[in-house]
Amino acid sequence: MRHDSERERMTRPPAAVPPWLAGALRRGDCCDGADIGTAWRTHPSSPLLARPADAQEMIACVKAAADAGRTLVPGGALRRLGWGHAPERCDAVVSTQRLDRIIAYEPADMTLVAESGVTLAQLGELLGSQGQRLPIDPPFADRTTIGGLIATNVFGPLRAAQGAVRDLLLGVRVVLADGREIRAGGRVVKNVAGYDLMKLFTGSLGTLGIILEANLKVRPLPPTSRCGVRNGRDVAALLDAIDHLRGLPFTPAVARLLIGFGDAALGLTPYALALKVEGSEAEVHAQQNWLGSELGGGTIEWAERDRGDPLYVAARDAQAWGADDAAVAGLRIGLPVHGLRAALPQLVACAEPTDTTIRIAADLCQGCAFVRLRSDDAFALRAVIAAVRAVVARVGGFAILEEIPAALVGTLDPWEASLTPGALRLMRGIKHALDPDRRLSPGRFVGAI
Amino acid sequence: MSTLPQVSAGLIDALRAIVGDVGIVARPAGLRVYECDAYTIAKATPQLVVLPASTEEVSAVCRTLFDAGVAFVPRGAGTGLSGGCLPLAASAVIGTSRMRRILAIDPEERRAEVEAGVVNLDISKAAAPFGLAYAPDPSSQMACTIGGNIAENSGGPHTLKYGVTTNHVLGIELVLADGEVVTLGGSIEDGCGYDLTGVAVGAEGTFGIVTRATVRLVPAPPACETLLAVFDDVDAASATVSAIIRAGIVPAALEMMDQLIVGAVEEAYGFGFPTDAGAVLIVELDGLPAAVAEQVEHVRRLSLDGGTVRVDVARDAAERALLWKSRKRAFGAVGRLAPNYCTQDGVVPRSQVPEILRRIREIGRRHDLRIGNVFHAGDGNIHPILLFDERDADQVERVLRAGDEILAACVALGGSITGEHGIGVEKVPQIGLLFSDDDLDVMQRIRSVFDPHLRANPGKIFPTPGGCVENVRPRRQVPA
Repeated sequence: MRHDSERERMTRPPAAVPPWLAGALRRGDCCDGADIGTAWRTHPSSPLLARPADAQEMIACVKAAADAGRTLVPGGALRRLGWGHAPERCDAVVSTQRLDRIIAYEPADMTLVAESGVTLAQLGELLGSQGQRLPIDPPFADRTTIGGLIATNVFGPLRAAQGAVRDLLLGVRVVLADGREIRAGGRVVKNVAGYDLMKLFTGSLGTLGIILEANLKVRPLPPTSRCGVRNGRDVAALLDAIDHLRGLPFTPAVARLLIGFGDAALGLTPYALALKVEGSEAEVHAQQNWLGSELGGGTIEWAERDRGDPLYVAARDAQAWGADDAAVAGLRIGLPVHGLRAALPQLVACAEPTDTTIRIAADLCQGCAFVRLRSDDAFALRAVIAAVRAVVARVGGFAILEEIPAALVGTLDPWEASLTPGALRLMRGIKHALDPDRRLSPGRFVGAI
Repeated sequence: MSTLPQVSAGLIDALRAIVGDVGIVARPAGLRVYECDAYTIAKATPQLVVLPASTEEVSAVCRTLFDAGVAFVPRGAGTGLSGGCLPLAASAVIGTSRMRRILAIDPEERRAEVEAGVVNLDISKAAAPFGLAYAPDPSSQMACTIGGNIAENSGGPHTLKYGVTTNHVLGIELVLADGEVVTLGGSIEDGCGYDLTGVAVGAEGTFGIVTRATVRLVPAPPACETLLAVFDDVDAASATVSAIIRAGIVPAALEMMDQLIVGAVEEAYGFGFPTDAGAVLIVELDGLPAAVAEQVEHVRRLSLDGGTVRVDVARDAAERALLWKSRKRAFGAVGRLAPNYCTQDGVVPRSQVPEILRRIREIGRRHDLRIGNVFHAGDGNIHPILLFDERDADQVERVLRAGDEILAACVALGGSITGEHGIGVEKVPQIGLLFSDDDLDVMQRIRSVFDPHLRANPGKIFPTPGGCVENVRPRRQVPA
């Protein structure tokens, strides 16, 4: 299943392998990282993209960089390379996309070992054929590698019901900045031997090491599912759903409020609650009954069985609306569930003064919302981002700027510090322990770590 | 082994000024209580035990010990099974038994904030009126503390479906060895920065001492059924375990007990287990009533296909409670089978459960030891119980060798040397079966970020040069 790699190889013009990498790349290659550079305005616009052919070459690249005093930024499919601060230096982006082997998959154990360049789409095909899945569903499954999933902790609407990658990652094999290869965890679902370093690598944005292999736990694929939508006149009409959902004796697979995503073909109005329930026939039926024919005073329209997928896909992809648009800002908000009621109408109101386009996908059972903003006016966008952050801060949440509009790169802190001094000091210590010379994505992380 | 720093009278006075008389244990009789945890094969009496009542007191105590160059062992209820609380390389123990307040239950957010000394089961009891519970349920949950659970990343039977401690702890307050108080994580998931909470869970007290935790509460399922399936032999039972997992069923719990254990628990608790059974499976299914009913039938069918002699569903809450009491107190019941027993903890991939049980039988035969098995079959986490009489030095020796061979077999089958109980002191010699020198070096560098002077629970997890490990593998009789 190398189609993605092939496509990648064909679309990028080749570049000469610099002398410091020449010894490391035998079958691997380098190419022009033209579009990568646009995410980092503070850089020369075309960093080198190195694509080692296998794990051994990846390790050799890291050693070569260490020997030559060079800096690397690891990536997979590079879909989310713009997250975080722009790195202070980057001699090459090094991609895991050719590390795409499944090492071991035992359906009877419900565990899997895969190289970090395997995409979620490839994984989904393989696991699906055995009636299993990795229950994490971010948008762009074909452009999200396992390594990228771990490094960004990205997730989709299933998170409330199924957890995130930290709950499924059993072990890792990583190459550190000095070229040493280490392992942590194991291949079994219960394991407390040694420190859980998997937690440190999760969400670390390529600053602590380059993931070569991951051991993952998988789950059964539910036999069936149903999708439904409850449309509302406005935000207020849908907010009662929050309490109703909280009172359920189960968590629906998807309970995502969509604001600004009207789509007549899908039967979605601009204020809609997308629902999905999964399980056996009996379970799905029971869940539908629990949700009731009325949610917050309005009817749920259930799609016919096996016809609901487009609705689910739209709800999922809503969180990444405008991801390729340089005029779009994307924030991931975490807040108390009770804070959603107060915050959602206020968030919508943030965009009104400047006529900025705002779209929100909010997972009502998780306390998570994705706010997408679009404006050609960078000043307006900056003001709305600040207003959004203020709303979220008032309810005790945080707002992480995941996608920064091109015009504002370098001027905004993706995290706007919500760490205690002690925690930040320990994080700097972790970075220093694993990458003392700051060879990997320096400055990309919280606090410019 | 190097001698430990002496705890001077002056130091005791300084600590007494912080915690009061009630917080100091310095007399020999009182100190003996802290000479071991549930890993009773090794004992070491600390010079001093300090029992602070608040985070502020813990911080001041740590600062005082740090300035005096004295290392400490953090201790919850002392129910650990790997010697994590053994004060072998530290003069002082800091206990959390006076920090037992449940600070807040937030039913809407489904969070609880608790002090580290709160007993695991007490969290669920406090959450029950809101229809919520704290999911990780180690067998010792009536005594063990959340702080200890965090140190070990404890599991329990219900972790098959619900996860282990690390999946339910969202934030901690940690006091470092020099007294600094750090707040890691919080009540909202997926926040900023490295997951320090995540790496601290399971760190076995080597980062500092946890004083508070924010934990997740889960809704109690509307329906729950517990089945008991009886088999003529262990192979049939473990084949049925495999079939249940392969069928895509995720039971809330899936436990196995073999004949040796069943005999002991039946004598102790009188549930009504058939004592001639080769093995029994306890399968718990929970969720929506319609789903549970379906799964009960499915598991029943699979058990019958697997050759079960009999499969019954617990008739009511009382019967279910007795069934679980029998399982959770199995270790205690084993006391009637032999003067001493050693509980092992290993993991294999689920599909290798039949094979590891075969190897355990063979190891038992070869070393002439009786070994019973009670364990979390659904996730391959085995607990062989080796019976012996510690007055017989040769038996003790055989038990230690058999335990080593079982762990080696787990690793050979792709598993781990500990699923729940931790490395502690017990498995320091085996950690090299899983990790290279580089792996261990990196872990210790991480540890040094939190505890650069190695004052928090030194001597645990990692082999130390010229270490004290030999002392915990007695080659002589250990007095009862």
